[in-house]
Amino acid sequence: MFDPLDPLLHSQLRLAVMSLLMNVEEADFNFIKEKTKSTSGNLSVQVNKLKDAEYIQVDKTFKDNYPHTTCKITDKGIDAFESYLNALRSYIKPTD
Amino acid sequence: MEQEKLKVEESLNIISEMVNSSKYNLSEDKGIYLMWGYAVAISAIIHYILQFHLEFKEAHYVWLSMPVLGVINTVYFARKSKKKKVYTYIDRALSYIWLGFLFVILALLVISPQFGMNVVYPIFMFLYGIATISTAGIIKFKPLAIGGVISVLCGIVAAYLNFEYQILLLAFAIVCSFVIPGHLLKNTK
Repeated sequence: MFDPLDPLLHSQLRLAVMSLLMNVEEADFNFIKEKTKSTSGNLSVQVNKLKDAEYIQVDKTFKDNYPHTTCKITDKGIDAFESYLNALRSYIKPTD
Repeated sequence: MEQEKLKVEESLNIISEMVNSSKYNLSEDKGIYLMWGYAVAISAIIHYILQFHLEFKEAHYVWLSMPVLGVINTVYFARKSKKKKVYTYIDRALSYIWLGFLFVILALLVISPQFGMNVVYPIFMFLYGIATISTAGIIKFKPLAIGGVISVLCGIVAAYLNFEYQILLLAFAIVCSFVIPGHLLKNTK
């Protein structure tokens, strides 16, 4: 039986953002943009969706007078990511 | 883009690509590591020559090189953290190990008049051992762990020797735990 995949994570950019944040303590918006090769507009929409779902925490501060946005995965986000991985696993199990 | 349905395989590719792209770069701080290694080794050898061959009483002033390097080190990391776009678990683990190391070294220097330098020197080598072995484990770099073990062994031997030979052992320990592993770190930039 295939497990349902979390629609919030089963999207290219959102999954990329979550995978990146799983691996680090925190990352700034430009770092995520660079690594995921996305545009600011699209990334900011997807980041907001993840934030609304409480999968990530977004902090906006100022660094040398420039706005500076950092993202961090939450415990809820880690749980969601792990469930997503487990669900994926059910798709790749050998069918014998 | 937003509505597209991903294939399972694609999902796995995205995950592994992102995980790889945020890996810690081992060689990033190679220069600073080598700077400390060479400075301590050279200072120890100068100390040894000045005190035991030229009989210069104030030979220990050579260690004033350390606060100077401390300033360079602080400026380097302050600049780096300004530019830093990502902070990993490894960054945090390493910075706390070396911060703890620094505090204990300073504490030992403060109490050294009470016990004498010849008691404190072997402990310095044990400390190099702890810090380099834990760093080696975190960044998965074996030569550093071997260097750390050699440092600890040098510390044991040093405990039975005169100060004269302790200084030389300190230089040897630092060459094994800093200089050699530092040069073995691959340039991945």
